[in-house]
Amino acid sequence: MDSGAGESSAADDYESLMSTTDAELLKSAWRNEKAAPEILNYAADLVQRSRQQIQLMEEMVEDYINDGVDPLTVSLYQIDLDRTMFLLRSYLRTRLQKIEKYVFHIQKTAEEWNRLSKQEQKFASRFAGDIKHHLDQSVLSRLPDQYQSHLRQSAASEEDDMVPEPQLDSYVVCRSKKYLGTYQLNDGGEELINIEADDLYALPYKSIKPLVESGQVDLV
Amino acid sequence: MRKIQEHEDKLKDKNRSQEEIGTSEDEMSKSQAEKTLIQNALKSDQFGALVHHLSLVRNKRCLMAYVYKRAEVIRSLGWMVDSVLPEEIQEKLSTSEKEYFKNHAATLQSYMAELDLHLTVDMIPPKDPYIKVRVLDDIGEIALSDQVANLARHAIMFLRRTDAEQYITQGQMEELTG
Repeated sequence: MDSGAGESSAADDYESLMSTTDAELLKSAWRNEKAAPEILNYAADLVQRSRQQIQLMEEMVEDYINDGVDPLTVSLYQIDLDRTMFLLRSYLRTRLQKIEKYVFHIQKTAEEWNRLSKQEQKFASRFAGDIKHHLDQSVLSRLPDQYQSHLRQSAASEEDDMVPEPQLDSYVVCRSKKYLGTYQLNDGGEELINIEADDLYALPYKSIKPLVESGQVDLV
Repeated sequence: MRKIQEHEDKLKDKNRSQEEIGTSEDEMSKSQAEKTLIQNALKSDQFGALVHHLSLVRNKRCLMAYVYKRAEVIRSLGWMVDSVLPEEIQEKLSTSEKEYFKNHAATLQSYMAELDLHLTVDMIPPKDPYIKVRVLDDIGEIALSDQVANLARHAIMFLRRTDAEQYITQGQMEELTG
């Protein structure tokens, strides 16, 4: 799966080549998704390509087994395949769990709704319906009229205060691949930090959100 | 909150109507005493209404948190077990929760069918394609992904990881790491 390794001698070229293979991209997307407190953009074409490559690998392994190639080689290919499948499944699972946690908030915010794939959107709507029905049946139908909303505490609340929102100021550990220069941390322009390449920083997620979205900074 | 508003409005109206009548001093002092009485009664009504509202809202929050947390635990069970819950757990669930579990399992199944990918296997990163397991319960002949195996009790066999995981989480097999 890690094709084209080490064709050029310089270490830099090898690094950049490795970082653009699908396996590496999937790994970093998976790591970002696991570390971020809110749901990130769905890497649709990455998932598509990975599935196609997995399909090819499966066929290749089957052919090898039928041809009676050395079992050690076969099991090596098999374990590579398994690990990639694990990455893909874990990526999708992490996203599902985040959706489950913040489903009402995601339904309300158009920006976050657009970050889901189509199947995830269907899942989210069905899931929201399920849990609303469950809450209604167990608790809300027995309460007096003004208090029956699952989004607001009572009809007198000014906004939907019973919706859990992702904690955007939780701290994350991040690393940048290149030197990014000075970066303004807060909106008030209080602190400027120097972002060097390959240094680890522990920052609140809110301040580096645009950098993560553009892919310049990776979460660890 | 609306009731409190209404009470306040009533109080203001009473005050206004008292002033408009324009009474003499005696009657003024009498109506003054009346006014404070009415005001105190209204205030205790207001406080009563406020306390009632706040305690209702707190009860609602507590109840919803309880039901929501139980639903979370049920969901995490669903990831391990697939679609049928064991008996000891089923008797601890309310009817609404059993229904919720069924609905949730159906939602997950439809999502996985759309993606064509099994999401409940592979919960830990794999180290080996095959693992050694000992069978704890008598399961009989099962067709696995690459072999047809007779899973008798106390048998030690090498199975594909994806097949064995399902039985391990259900407690019918245990992994031998030694």
